[in-house]
Amino acid sequence: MQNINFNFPAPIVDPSVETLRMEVRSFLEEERRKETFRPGADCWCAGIDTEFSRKLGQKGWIGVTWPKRYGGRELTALHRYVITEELLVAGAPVHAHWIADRQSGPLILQSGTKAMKEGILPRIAAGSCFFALGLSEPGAGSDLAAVRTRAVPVSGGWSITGTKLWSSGAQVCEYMTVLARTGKLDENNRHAGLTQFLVRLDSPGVSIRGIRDMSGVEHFNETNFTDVFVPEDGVLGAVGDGWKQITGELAMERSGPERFLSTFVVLEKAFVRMAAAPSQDPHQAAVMGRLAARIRALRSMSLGVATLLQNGQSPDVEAAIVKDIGTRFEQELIEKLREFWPVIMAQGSDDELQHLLSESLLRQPSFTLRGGTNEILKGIIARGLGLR
Amino acid sequence: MEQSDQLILDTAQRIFADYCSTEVVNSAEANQYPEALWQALADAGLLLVWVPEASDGVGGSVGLGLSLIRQAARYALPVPLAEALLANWLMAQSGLASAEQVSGFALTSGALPILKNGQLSGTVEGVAFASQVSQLAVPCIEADQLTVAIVAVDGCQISEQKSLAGEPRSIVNLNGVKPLASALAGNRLSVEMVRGMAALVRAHQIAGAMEHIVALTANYVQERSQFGRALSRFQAIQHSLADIAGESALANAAVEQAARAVGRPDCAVDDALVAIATAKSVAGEAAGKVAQLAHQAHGAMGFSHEYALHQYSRRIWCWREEFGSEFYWNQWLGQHIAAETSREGSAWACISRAF
Repeated sequence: MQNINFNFPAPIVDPSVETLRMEVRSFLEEERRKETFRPGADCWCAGIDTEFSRKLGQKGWIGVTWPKRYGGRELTALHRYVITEELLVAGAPVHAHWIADRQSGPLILQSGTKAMKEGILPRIAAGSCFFALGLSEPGAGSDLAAVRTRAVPVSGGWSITGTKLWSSGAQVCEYMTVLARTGKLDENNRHAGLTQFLVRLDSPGVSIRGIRDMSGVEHFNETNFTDVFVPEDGVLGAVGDGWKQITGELAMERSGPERFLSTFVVLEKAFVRMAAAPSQDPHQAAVMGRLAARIRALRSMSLGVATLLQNGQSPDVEAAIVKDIGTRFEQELIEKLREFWPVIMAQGSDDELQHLLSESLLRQPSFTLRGGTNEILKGIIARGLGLR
Repeated sequence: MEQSDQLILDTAQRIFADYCSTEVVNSAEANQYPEALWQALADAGLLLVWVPEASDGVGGSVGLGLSLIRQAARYALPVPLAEALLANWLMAQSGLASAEQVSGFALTSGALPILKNGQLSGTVEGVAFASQVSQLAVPCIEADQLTVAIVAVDGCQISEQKSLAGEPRSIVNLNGVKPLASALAGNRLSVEMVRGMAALVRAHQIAGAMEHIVALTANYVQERSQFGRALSRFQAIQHSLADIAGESALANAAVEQAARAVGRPDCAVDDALVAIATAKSVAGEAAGKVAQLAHQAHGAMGFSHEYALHQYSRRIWCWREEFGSEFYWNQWLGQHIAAETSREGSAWACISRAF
């Protein structure tokens, strides 16, 4: 019988990690006092505030694991983890820099040119250069290899034509990483012939149209590319490496704390409310305790994946498990709390708990879709079990 | 993990593989106690993992003992290895370490037995394998203080019963029993912490058994064909398997984190209990989901006595209830975090403590 074991090693804890956590926490408390932001659910996707991202850059809290010569601080993955989880539980508006810090920066570090590393990474770390992802298209969602955006070689570079959809935050971003077909589609090897390009969003031929989501936030976009010129050195890595790069980023993208903490602000408020109540309902305590237990377990699992990544392993299956269980949990949290706090009214209530519940409920359908639907994730887990 | 720990676990692995087949597990339920297995474990010193070296034990860490217990559960071990370890842990914490006899562990879910004038009074229900050991470690109260009493099983009135999994769970009547020895419980110990340690042991057993269920089920759906193809080719089955693997993985993460927390010498008792509550809650909830989905994937075969699945599903159904079900620990955790929130103003500080 095959042996299937999932183990989640403890992170290596540097004592400076907790000091950093306290610095981030007190910065966020101070910003709350100054009312520079109102805590929001799903803040890493819905909360866009370029000024706030700039402040975090000035604090040195973006790109912390990167080499110092590129604006980083050469801290550990756990330092970055602690910064991100503190930002998430505070509901801080962090979307503007989130993708660049998590994904695009590391991609440039790994596959970018010297000019990209020197010219872009320090600005990402400073909180002044933002990135959007150009993956999904009108005809390519879960089946990403079906992208029809094409890049054709022209004198001195490439010409890109196509449409990218759902690219969060593109309207404030300087760059998009665009997945395009550079080779002919081979039905027997659909993942070949795909390449990622670094495209400046102010290039001639680029147009961005904002799309409002059902919660009223306009962070989605449809981005059109019509004969957009990208110079030769705008290719990320080698031509044809696009699929490998994207799947290589997935373990990192899928296992972070944003995959189970998107609605934590609501639970925090609910605990404050419960703590203030004169008498406690044991059933309510059990429901809330269960939610806390699952968050703690998800966090251990997520930290374990981060440790495996740092040890040079490829925990793709474990990361898919974190995202599958974590995102369903973020949704379930709202369903459990409405037993005690019904959700009827629109967002914007003066009652902070009501506001956050409403906001979360309207945002949660996207949790189990973005970054790979849960059906796709279950397929990956099943493959890891040897079933396909 | 230290190299010497790995050697101990490798030894255990060999003994389980050699002496604990499905037939042995089935026979144990039919009252054929697996003496050879029990003897092999004793000969290898595995019952003494939590006995200090000064008392001729192994002096193993909390983590080592829990890993051993989890590994044993992957074989549905039908002997009281976990209970013997727990008893030795409790005795060592209270300065009662003795390597000479194998003890069971007798903790009630109700009021603890009272020790007064050298005599016990009270009854403990659900004592695992009481008749298979010579003595029992009994948490009790003497002069309002938590005390550990060692009693000879011969001197107790035992009413034998069986658990869901067909394992002995007896009612032990302690009225008038004079302990062989007793001592004040160690100063880090509260009733809650003793119950917590027992809950953590059960959580590790659940995690280990679930790992085996996942492997068993993944294997079965690849071998069984219907409609001209293996069950594993059906997406509905693949998604069920993904769900049980996920729940099993989540339980692993929770029990491993709790083992690390409890094993840390500087860990505050409250923090240890938060980690334990998490582990038993998550493992207990996972047990129900995993058993249900694994049986569904196995069809009627998994429902037959001949096939091994029920040796695992019945055990995890039983273990999830013992020493506090997920409902008990959820409530404990909710109340604990609410109390800390009213003191510190934040639930997150409590939830995020320790890695």
